[in-house]
Amino acid sequence: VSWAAHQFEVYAVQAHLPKKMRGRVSWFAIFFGDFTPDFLAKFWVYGFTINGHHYGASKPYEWHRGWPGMGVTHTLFFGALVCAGIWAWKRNRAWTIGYLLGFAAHVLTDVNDSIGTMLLFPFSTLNWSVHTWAYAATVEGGKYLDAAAYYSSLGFVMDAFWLVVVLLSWRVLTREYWRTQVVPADPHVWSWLGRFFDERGLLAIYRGTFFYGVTRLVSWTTWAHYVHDPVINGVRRDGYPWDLSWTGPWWVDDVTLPQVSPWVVLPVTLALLALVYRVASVLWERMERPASSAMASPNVRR
Amino acid sequence: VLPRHAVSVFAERYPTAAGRERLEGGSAGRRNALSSFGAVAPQHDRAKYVDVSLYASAAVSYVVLSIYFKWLLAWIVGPLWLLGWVWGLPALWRLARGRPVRPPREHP
Repeated sequence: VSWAAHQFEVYAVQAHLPKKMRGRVSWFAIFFGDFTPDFLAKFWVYGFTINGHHYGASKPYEWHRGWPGMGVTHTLFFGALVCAGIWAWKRNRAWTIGYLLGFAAHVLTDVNDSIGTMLLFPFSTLNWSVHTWAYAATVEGGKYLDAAAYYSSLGFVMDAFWLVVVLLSWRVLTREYWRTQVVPADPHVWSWLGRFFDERGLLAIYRGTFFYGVTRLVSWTTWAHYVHDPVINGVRRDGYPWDLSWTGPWWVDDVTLPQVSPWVVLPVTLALLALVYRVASVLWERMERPASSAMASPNVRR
Repeated sequence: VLPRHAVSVFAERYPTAAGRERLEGGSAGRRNALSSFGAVAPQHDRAKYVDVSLYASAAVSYVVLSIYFKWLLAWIVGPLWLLGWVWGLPALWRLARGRPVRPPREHP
């Protein structure tokens, strides 16, 4: 589970698009691509309780990332299927490629927790994980324990890392960047929104995900370490203890699924990241419609 | 190079183009909007100050409240909080002063 990292990734991907895609890839597509895996899988991970009865997954980690379960939503294969569907439906490369990049960012960063993702699904149902921090979504602990564990471990460092990546590309958050790089890639969507909101409102929509990432990072960290006093192993503590060691924190059970060796995960993940960018680059060229047919149709393929 | 059609869609339908472009209107206005696309209208110092204040106060209020009311940390609430604070509060202020809230529609 990555938390604010998934919000920051959207802007990091947007800021580091290949040169030929700048101002042409849909920011909304990157957003939906990055959020789709958890949109589909996360609601049942924590579940909900009504009249004392808990409705949700009995093994959250298996439901979230495993097979059988919704782990398929965290695979590059699933992302490729959705991208094929978007292309078949809309013939819109701005959305197809944007979705692919956002989705891949989510799937590849989720290899960091102790459960990881099924990177080579459907060829293999083994999970790929580097065990940077412990996956802590449990039936008993729910969202609160998950958040506390994440923001007490190297997960916090992960969020901070992605925040720094975005801050180093701070122009991606400016009004100028939005008008010159983001709006032209999605003129219809922004035009439609512009019927209801002025520019200040449109910018707030664009920056909203970054705002959410920063504030939830601060809020959960503050709550976990300065507000809540948990009982761990029968001892009441002033805040959850920090543990920035590998596969921390020590005070949650480390759950796993059948996995490949962690030593091959990082190089393979980086290779897949490079492959995704290569595929996106090649597809971008091939999806470009000839100028003659583009002039004949009012629907521009972006 | 931006696709011509996409830019024209933006120039004709996007209601927050620079004031001069809007005032000129008609085909001349569209030509100006097309030719100057990418040139961002300058933002006045006071507007910048108001924006910074709105974003900062949105962040502080959201963090303080969400520490104690966890439901505020839902993924849909955070972005809506920013939108409500940064756009909604000034819109309410304009409404209270009898000014229109929605952007003016452009008809080339």
